[in-house]
Amino acid sequence: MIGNTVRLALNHPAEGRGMTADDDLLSAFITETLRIEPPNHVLTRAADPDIDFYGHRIAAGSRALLVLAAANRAPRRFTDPATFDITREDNRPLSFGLGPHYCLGATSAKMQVEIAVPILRRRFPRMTLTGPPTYRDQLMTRGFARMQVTLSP
Amino acid sequence: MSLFLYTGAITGAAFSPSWLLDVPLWFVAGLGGWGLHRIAHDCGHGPFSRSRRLNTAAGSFALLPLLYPYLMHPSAGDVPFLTSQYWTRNASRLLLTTDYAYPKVLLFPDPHHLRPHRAPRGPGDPVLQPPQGSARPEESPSGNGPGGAAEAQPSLADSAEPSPVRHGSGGSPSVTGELLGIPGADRMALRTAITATTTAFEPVFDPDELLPADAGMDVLVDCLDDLVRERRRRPGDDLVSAMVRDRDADGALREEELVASLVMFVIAGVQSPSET
Repeated sequence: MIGNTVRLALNHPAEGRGMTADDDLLSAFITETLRIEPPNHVLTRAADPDIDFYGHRIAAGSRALLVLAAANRAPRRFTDPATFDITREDNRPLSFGLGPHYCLGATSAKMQVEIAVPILRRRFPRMTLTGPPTYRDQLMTRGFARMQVTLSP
Repeated sequence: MSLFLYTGAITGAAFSPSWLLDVPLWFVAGLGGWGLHRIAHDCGHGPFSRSRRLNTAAGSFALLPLLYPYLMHPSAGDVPFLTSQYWTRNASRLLLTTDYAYPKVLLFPDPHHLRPHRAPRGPGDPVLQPPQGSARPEESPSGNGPGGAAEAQPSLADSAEPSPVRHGSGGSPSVTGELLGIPGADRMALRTAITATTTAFEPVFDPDELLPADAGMDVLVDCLDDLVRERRRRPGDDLVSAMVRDRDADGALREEELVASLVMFVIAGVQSPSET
């Protein structure tokens, strides 16, 4: 989350600057980061009864991979889903899950980002990306292998 | 050593000039044979080595003099023994991805919660509403309505120079370590182990791909096992102490379930916020 937030802040400098001054913008920025770059892309679940899910039948007992990253970009839920937009109304991504198993640490994780990223941005206001970051070779959890920045060009 | 005792004693007995000498030699042969069986047993169950190939080779070799075929235990590699020295192959995957530790152990001892939840029937379905108490601050109403509880959660971004980040640039290992009560010196050392375990979430095509994850899991289990015992002796103001106190009071969790829960907390608490 911290890496993704920093990367998006550097790629969207206007919003990135705004977040250090405005808590609402910061919160919206992090939520939109969670939507478009969820740390964990997939959850596994099992169907209890037979389910008719938008026309697709899922038999009881079937195991299902829920691709949260795709749900966060579902066109019927999010307008222009591939666009990073911190002004979205009712922006509720599924990155921390939903229902009784909603991530226990969600608030802690968001607080960590709310603290860490503004400190980093204030300390290095002229930080820029040196090049496109590389990602670890993983499907379920998606994070950077390396993200190089220039602190003060 | 066992092989030498076994074959040496049998050979000696075969050529011994007197039956009186045979008695101690057969005794020694029995000791050697038991040692060979013990080696093969550990190979078959997994703890002899993390490599399946080495287990098979050593187990077959150990059983050869006993004229008995080597068969790997059917559950070897499938059942995590939660005492760390018997922590077996694929334990990382099992602990992270099955009901063994999550979610059964961690959060919802009530069997009702073990049942999968029904799928939403449409966008307006109540099942899609966020759970009580977990509303994120930006979703709560701004007035003094029922969502006020969520607003009561401290927004640390409000403070000009927040103090909770006390351990320099360590970031998330420090925060999660502080919450759990992991001693400061151990925190960064756990980072490599935590990253290694995340392979267990991934699709793998060769079980050996999980070896680093299993090794990482060993480190985490050892650390948290020690921490649980330490906090039982000397409780502190941290999550591990609180969970140990509650576990000991009501017995709802087994000791190894408690450790498994804490391992999960450490991985989830460090990996997602900091490494993505």
